[in-house]
Amino acid sequence: MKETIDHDIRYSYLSDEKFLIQWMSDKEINKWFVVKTESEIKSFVSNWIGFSKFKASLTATINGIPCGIGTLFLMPYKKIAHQCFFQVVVDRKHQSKGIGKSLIKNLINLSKNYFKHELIYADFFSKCLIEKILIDLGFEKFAQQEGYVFENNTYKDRICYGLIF
Amino acid sequence: MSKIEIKKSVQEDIKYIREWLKDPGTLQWYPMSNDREIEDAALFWMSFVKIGAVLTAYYNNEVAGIINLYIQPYQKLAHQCLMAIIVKSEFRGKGIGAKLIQELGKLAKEKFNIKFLHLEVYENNPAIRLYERQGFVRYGEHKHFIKNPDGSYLSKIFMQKKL
Repeated sequence: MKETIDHDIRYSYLSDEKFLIQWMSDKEINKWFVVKTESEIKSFVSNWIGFSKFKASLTATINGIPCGIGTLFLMPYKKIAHQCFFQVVVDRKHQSKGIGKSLIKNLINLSKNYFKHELIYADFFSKCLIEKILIDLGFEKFAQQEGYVFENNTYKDRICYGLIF
Repeated sequence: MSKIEIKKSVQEDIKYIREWLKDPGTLQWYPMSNDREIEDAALFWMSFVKIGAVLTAYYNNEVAGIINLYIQPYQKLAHQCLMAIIVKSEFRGKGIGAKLIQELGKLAKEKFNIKFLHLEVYENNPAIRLYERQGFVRYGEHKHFIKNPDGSYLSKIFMQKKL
């Protein structure tokens, strides 16, 4: 069984934005996200970290240094406020150490017990390793959209997984 | 003979979206539920007028429906697009929705180089049959997506068409 490295989880700060920008700019991480250029990354990250104002974002740290961020994207309309979408990213140096799974478990707890959501969901591109983690945590696949992303002359599907509490 | 004409939308057409969405029978098929949410959605919808990505249908010279492309802001997604459509209740069943979708498909392909057009619709919406006839294929279902004020749930159905 893979060991989880010692880490802490705290609410994200707006100042964690610089880590998101740094990770999103890493080619190996960037390939799993919709953004590409510097201005796209900046606008995407600004929206993402904005949810920290609602205490809907968590940051994993090792020795006080951020190594991953997971965020609940709260819904803007009443009829869909019982559920939310989430995203997670882990610094490449600390991937495959259980941090992503720990962040998702904590997001589930935050979503269910603090925001009183009834379900959460995530999407990712085909072949992303997050799929195994989501299955382990009880998520079920509900959609696969062909040709969602086009990069380097290749299409990737978008895959959606959800968990009803 | 009744005549359907499709034209590029103008910003002033936002008043029709506001008016039509205030009809509870129409609003039930959208995620919004109050005036603030309708205004927010209408403004976002019509923000695509300035790039020519919104079309308005006229039926015997009366505004009858509006359709748009939510053009993606990111390069990696620029080849695909989500669309949204609304037809005033009294004009439904007259072929306006079909004409709007056909014209939007042409616009998407020719002007914006879109390869995949997709949409989201709630379960039991009669428009699903229209989308199927227009070549959209279902690729997923998000259960419990909508929670109505009476506590009932509706799934969101995802559909896509290759252009």
